[in-house]
Amino acid sequence: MTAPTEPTGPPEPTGVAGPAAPTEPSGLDDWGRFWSHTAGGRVRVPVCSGCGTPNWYPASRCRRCGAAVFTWKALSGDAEVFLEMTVHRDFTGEGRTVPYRVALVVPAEHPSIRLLARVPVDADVAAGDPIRLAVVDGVPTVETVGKAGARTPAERGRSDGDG
Amino acid sequence: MTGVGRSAQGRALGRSVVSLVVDAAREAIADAGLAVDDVDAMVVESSYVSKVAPQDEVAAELGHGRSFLSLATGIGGAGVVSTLAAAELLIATGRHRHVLCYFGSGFGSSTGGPYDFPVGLDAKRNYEAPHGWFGQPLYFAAMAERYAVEFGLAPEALAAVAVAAREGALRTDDAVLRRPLTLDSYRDEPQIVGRFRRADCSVISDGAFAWVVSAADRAADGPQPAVSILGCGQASEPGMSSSTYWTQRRRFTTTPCRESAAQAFAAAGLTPADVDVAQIYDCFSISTILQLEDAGFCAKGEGADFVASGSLGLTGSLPTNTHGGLLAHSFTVGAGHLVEAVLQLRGQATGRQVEGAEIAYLAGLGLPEHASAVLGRP
Repeated sequence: MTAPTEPTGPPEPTGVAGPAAPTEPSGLDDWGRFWSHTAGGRVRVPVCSGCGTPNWYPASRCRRCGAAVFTWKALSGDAEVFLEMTVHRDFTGEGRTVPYRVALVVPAEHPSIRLLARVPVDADVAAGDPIRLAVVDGVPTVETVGKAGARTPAERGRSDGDG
Repeated sequence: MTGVGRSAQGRALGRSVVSLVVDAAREAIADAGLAVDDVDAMVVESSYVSKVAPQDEVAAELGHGRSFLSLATGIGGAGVVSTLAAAELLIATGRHRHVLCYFGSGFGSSTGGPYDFPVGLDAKRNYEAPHGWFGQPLYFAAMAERYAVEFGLAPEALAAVAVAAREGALRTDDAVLRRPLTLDSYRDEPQIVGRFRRADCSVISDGAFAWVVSAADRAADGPQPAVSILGCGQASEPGMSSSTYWTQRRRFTTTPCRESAAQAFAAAGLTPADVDVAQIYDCFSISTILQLEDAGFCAKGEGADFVASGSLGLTGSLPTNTHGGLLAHSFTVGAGHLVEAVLQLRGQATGRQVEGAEIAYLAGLGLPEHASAVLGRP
């Protein structure tokens, strides 16, 4: 099997500007805006200016109230690891060095959304651990702050409910 | 269901998907005792095969010479299984008598294989891939990882699914992957991502299957015993799209199989305990475990133990994917499972027949969608 040849690095700004707060960089689509913020050192997510709901992934209108104006709010960086994995084979087609690690993390201020983050290969981090979501080389990255301690699967909660 | 057919299967056949589909369709139509022009509707999966082997192109190559209704269903394996529900609906109108359905894969010969599809999705290309989060093995490995966090997941459970599928493939002449696999040799399989080794991942291949659904009053006239569609169900994950279904889904270790199976069993008036043979969409080993739980063959969190106890083998309590499934037979996105269910219920699964099989459960996954069907012996 051959992996795709599309470019997959942090993308160049493309697309047409959507609704944005006055302080937002103009001329960027949603993902261009996201990477523009990480290039500035902060992870920001679009929060509805009408009802305060984080919309992740970005949407043209708030999924809750339908308003079309968002404020890209900076995350504190406090987060918890939802899962992390080691990737042994490169599927991105961009010749990534393997193995590498990647995680899904839940930001403290928005427990209903999950963000992706790189994980340093030697980091001592596992699901359930509190971490700091930092920006390293323009990419959201897990920084360890401590261990959650030994918890049983049941104590870590389940994600199969309807809630 | 009055007829089934298959094309050649292989890792890379270098043939057009249309030509593979035509081979399978001709066999299915003949199997049903019909002429090509008896087909008055064609129903196929929408996200892939309706694009690479559209109904009009297939009809033209079949030499089909009359007007027909053309319809496409849902995504991937869900779309394959939901052809049965759609065909039933068409026939129930009284305006259609014989519905031809098919799926063909050219993934084995295409440049990017199955990795072509996520590249086209904005969020995957522009948000996920830059983090190294890309490709179906990774998406499903994430599900296995979270399952392990919540319920525990011994390597032996994943291995048991892979070994059972490989044993089925070894009993099936046209299976693509026929290298023996044991619980021991599983440990030597190369690591792919997370808990997955190579044997946990679908084979990638070319090939087609086709099936004909006919009005019940005509089904008895065919040369083959007609298999009954006893119940169907379709469901989707609320609020999820193909872009977001992996990272943002609320139910990370449950699939919409829970809803579609409940619908199908209710429509059939049966329960999982009545099932003699199961055909479960097994793009990865974890997929089988989750759908067995969601369909009600065991409780949530007990699937790993259920499969590790040997349930899935030909002589186990629930023979599953008896032809080898996606893990070892072919990457035909559930179409091979569907045809295998029909052969089992006809008593024609030579070399791998589940003795006395009367009821089959068929599960098709195409996240964020799922479709189920309960099928019965003639």
